[in-house]
Amino acid sequence: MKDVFLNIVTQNQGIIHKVCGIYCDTHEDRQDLFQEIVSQLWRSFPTFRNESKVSTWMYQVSLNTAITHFKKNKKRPDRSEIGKSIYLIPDEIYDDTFEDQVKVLHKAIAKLSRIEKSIVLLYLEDKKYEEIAEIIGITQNYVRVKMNRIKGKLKKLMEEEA
Amino acid sequence: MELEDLKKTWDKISSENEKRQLNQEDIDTLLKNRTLDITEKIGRNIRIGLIIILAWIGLWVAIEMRVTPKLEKIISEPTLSGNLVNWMTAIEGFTYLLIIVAIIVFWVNYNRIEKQNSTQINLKKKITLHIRTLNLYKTMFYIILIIILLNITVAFSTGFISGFNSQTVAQQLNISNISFFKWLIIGMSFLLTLGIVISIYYFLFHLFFNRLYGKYLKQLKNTLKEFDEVNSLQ
Repeated sequence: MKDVFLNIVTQNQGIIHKVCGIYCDTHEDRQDLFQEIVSQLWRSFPTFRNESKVSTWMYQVSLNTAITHFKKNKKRPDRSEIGKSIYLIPDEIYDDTFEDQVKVLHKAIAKLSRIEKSIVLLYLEDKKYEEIAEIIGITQNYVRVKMNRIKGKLKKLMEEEA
Repeated sequence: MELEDLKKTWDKISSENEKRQLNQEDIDTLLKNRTLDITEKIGRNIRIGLIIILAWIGLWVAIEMRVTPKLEKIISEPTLSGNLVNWMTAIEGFTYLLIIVAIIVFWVNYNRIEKQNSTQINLKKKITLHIRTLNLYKTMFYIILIIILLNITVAFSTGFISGFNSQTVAQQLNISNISFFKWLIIGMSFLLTLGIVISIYYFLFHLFFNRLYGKYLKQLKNTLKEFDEVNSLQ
């Protein structure tokens, strides 16, 4: 069973990286969250019976873990990493304009609530409202209303940043 | 920067990040080195609490049975009367029993919640279960604090009365000759000292819990409140 699990997680680990990237400010926090998500996936793996898609199950567990993740109280989070290292931007695509865009993206997302972050992540991943609703456990109507509000909020935040 | 640019930036980062993959061995190592999550840590703390309190009670029983009788023989003039000693011992034993019962009751409830939590996939229910676990832990924390404060109050009062009695005997004072004003001073100093001791204990416990979990609990409650917006939207 463990081999099957490791195979699934290895193949779909991009999901976990994205969730960690959107919820964590520092490399250390991302590593902690990544490990906790893998462990929660392993805990819930016996109950996963292919009734939903693997990606749906992985998004559900990863987002559940990220939203309920307990971060120990530390001194001010180190935000100096925002930019190249926060999303592990490779050198080949790295330039100043791109760095600015990543900073704006990160700053705008950081100001959203935990639920809003999960909706935005799934939206950016081109998920349909139906799937977003299934993953987060809310109605499509709620996703639609919430998404409209988030779009407005993000636009305003990005204008401020610009 | 428009929303579409944001999406493009996201896609660019995502496609590049896809290339950075951990292999199965790395993920297996992560799994083997996993640490406990918050609810598991609470479960561990309850177990440790029970072990500490049982060890403490064992020590207390040993002292009561072995050391106290020897001390009574050494001290020719006991400062506390026999009845008072028995009364104090009974109260102390009762408070320990209350703490054990409290921990066991919480342990049973914790397991009931955790059983649902471990297989829960619905986010709203998961947050609710996390809040329930933390509230349960908080309640246990405060109930034990109240029991400890009760114990302190009893011990402090007994010591105060005993000290007062021995002083009146030593100075051959007649209690009926003590003026109302002096009684008032004695009573006020007793209450003030007791109040200060209890406040310090309460403040330290309260600070400890809030520092550990206060912000997290608030965060979870806010997230749950956000979910409840569903009702207002439909």
